[in-house]
Amino acid sequence: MKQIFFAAAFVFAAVTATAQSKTTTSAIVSFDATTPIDALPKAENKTVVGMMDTKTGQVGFEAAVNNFAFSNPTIQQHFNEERWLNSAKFPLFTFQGKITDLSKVNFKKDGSYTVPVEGTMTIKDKTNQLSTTATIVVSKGSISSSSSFSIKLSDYGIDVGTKGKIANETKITVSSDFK
Amino acid sequence: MKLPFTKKIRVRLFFSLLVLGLGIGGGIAYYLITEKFEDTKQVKAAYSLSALNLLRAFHENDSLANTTYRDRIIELKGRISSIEWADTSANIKIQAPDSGDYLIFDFQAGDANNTRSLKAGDSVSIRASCSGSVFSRILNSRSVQFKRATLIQQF
Repeated sequence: MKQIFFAAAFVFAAVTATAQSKTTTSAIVSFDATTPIDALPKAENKTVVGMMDTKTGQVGFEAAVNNFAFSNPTIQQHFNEERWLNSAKFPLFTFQGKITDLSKVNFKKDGSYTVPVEGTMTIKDKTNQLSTTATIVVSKGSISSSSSFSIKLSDYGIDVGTKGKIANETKITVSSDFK
Repeated sequence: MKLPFTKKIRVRLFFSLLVLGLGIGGGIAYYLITEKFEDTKQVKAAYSLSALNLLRAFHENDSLANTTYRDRIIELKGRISSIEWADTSANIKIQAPDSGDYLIFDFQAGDANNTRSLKAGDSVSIRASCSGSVFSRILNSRSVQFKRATLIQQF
């Protein structure tokens, strides 16, 4: 009887722990590095892996660099080649962070919550601190999040050149529906 | 030494070649800037194989499989494990039964309507541009990702 109780307690604990960590493999990350003289350097990746732990506030994203879809083949090729993102050597953009004030969101009550997020963004072999805000929407048990922020490409060792065709200050948008 | 043409003709020739060069250069630049990816349905696949065989190829030798399939148009047959909505379009996943490894397809813009009727368990043939594999520390599994996918056939 005792063994059955402990086994049931273990299974319950495991299920509860899993339920707190929400994931997705279809988060969307888009970036916009367009300038007044070039509207091409922007792309979207719809197969980004994302994670949010509703208990600890940990969040993480992994975007495959080579799965960013551009409208223009030449720009996509430049984006992935060695002197830019070098996706063959550095296949992922990653973000690891945390919701720093979990009291601002109630995952058990439907609503829209704005929360502060801090963490580290890694592009190529450069890692930098990142602070932003995210909007979390809780609706009928499902959780979605969105966030917009800017990064400087030069902080990640990416030289945008002097022709003004690529914005150094690049806008990133992340949105995800967690399961 | 006497040159073959008069000065007037040489000047005309020079400017004609200059205009021709600028025209060709401008034409190439215009083509590169305005070029769009072709509809994947109209592109011949470099490889055709089963989805599970492709997953096996990446599982057995990730480096070789990336060299072979990355940035190629591939046609795959397999059974849909799940469908995930990304904004207004559907991503299709085909998962290996014995590991967490999976293939995931992001469909090209014109194919959004064709994918609405698909559901888990359907057998499909999909043509798409392979972006290669990545290993997720979050999921502790490998994914092979595809973009500009198009539905070729639903069985």
